[in-house]
Amino acid sequence: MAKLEKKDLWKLFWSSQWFTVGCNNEKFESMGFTLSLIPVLEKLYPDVEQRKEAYARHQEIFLTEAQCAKTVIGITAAMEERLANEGDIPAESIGAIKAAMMGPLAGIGDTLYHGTLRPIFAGIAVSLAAASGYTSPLGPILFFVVMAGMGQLINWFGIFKGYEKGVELVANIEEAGLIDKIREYASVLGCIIMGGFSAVFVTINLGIEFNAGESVVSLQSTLDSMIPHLLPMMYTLFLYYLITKKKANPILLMVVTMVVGAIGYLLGIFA
Amino acid sequence: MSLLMQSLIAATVMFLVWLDYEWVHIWTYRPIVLGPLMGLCLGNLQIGIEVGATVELMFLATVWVGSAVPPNEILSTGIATALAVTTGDATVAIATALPIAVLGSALLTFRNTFMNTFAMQRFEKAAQNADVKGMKLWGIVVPVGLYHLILFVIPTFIAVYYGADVCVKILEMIPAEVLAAINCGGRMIGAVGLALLLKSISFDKAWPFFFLGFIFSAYLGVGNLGITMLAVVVVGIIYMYKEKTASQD
Repeated sequence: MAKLEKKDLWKLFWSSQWFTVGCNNEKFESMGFTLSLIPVLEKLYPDVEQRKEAYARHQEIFLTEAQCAKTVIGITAAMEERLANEGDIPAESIGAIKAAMMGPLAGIGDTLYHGTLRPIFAGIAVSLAAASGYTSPLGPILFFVVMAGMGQLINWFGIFKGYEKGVELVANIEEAGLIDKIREYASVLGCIIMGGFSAVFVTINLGIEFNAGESVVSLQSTLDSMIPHLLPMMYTLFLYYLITKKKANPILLMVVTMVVGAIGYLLGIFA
Repeated sequence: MSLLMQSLIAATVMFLVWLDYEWVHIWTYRPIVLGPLMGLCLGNLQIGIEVGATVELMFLATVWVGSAVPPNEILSTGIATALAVTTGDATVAIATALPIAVLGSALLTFRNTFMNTFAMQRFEKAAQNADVKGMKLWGIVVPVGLYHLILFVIPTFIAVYYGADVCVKILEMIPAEVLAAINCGGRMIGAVGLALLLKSISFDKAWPFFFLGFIFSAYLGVGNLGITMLAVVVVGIIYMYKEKTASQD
């Protein structure tokens, strides 16, 4: 009987770094998932026929966020160990657990890690770089250290705690409504920060001026005296409306924005 | 440093960050890191920071959820920074960033739809035979080695080696007015990313908070770090308030 030890989990930690490799539009991360499990399956199933079966059952479609996926991999390792040693869980249940966890974990990972933390630290890094007149690499280094460290911490947690707590972990998370809570708080956090970002990271200035008697009045400074940075904020919300309500293609919107901005500048509408 | 040497270094850096993108995910492929990294390797850190920060702003909040392929800021930042170093002009980055990013996303879609699917079918055969070597060949060596070489590394070399001359000539031909216009458009692109992000963090359920952040930033001039702290405090207040009312029930 082969038991997974700490060093096997470390091997799993390293092999699971390949999780997103070969992502494709048919089965997404099935390859990465299988590659991750190599050290575990090799140890648990010394018999080659059983091993073939084990590899074969992980060739199913799998798609979730890369860092949070490590929790599924940890749990899967625990389930495979149980199946190999005790044989008291049905093999299909492993696939079922994987499928059940994909959605919620992608939700957490995309919202919190990619949607909130990454833009926050990138924003701070850009501010630091701009403030130093692009001479200090402090901002980029800060971003790199924080984000890389955090990513690997989530990986470590997923593999080790996921394995340790196994299935229990998922049940707890879903029961307490923790996922909904995390998403709720992340959206408050994200909205405040994106509101701030919309004022500083998007620049739209009107170049239109008109004569009022003797003096020249700039439309932009009139706007600024009422609501500064109004246009970037309004434009962001307009795009949000187009994306959510009109299902506009974001790539097209980027190109159109660039073209409109450039032509507007040449016509003197923007400055 | 000769142009050939610089092109080779740029291609090597590109290979490494794509390796990171598929492997340890330590974010060397984000514009804010890749710009300075590429700049440093080519001997001009400062221009690298400038290009990295500029391109990062364009794609800062751009988050694509699930399987959709976003404009590719990796190919874009890498080539733009290398060209900025070889031509000595950072404006080239702003002008080339979006077109290369769109091209990159097309290449990535092609990779995910055809090339990786082909590798995956071979991989499955190996997996069904418990053939670890075969799995590593089709799962790691081919996608990360061969495919990325064809799609991203060689194009980078060509773009930097042959592009620098062409870029300088084109830049000399373009009137300053047009570059300023492209720059103006470039500074607006970030709004698309913000809008996408608002969608993924459920703006419709927390929209008043968006305006809270906007007011602090626009009227009071609070910087990004300050806004972040404000956001954490507000989440803390909501949490305490909610937990308190929950325990009183």
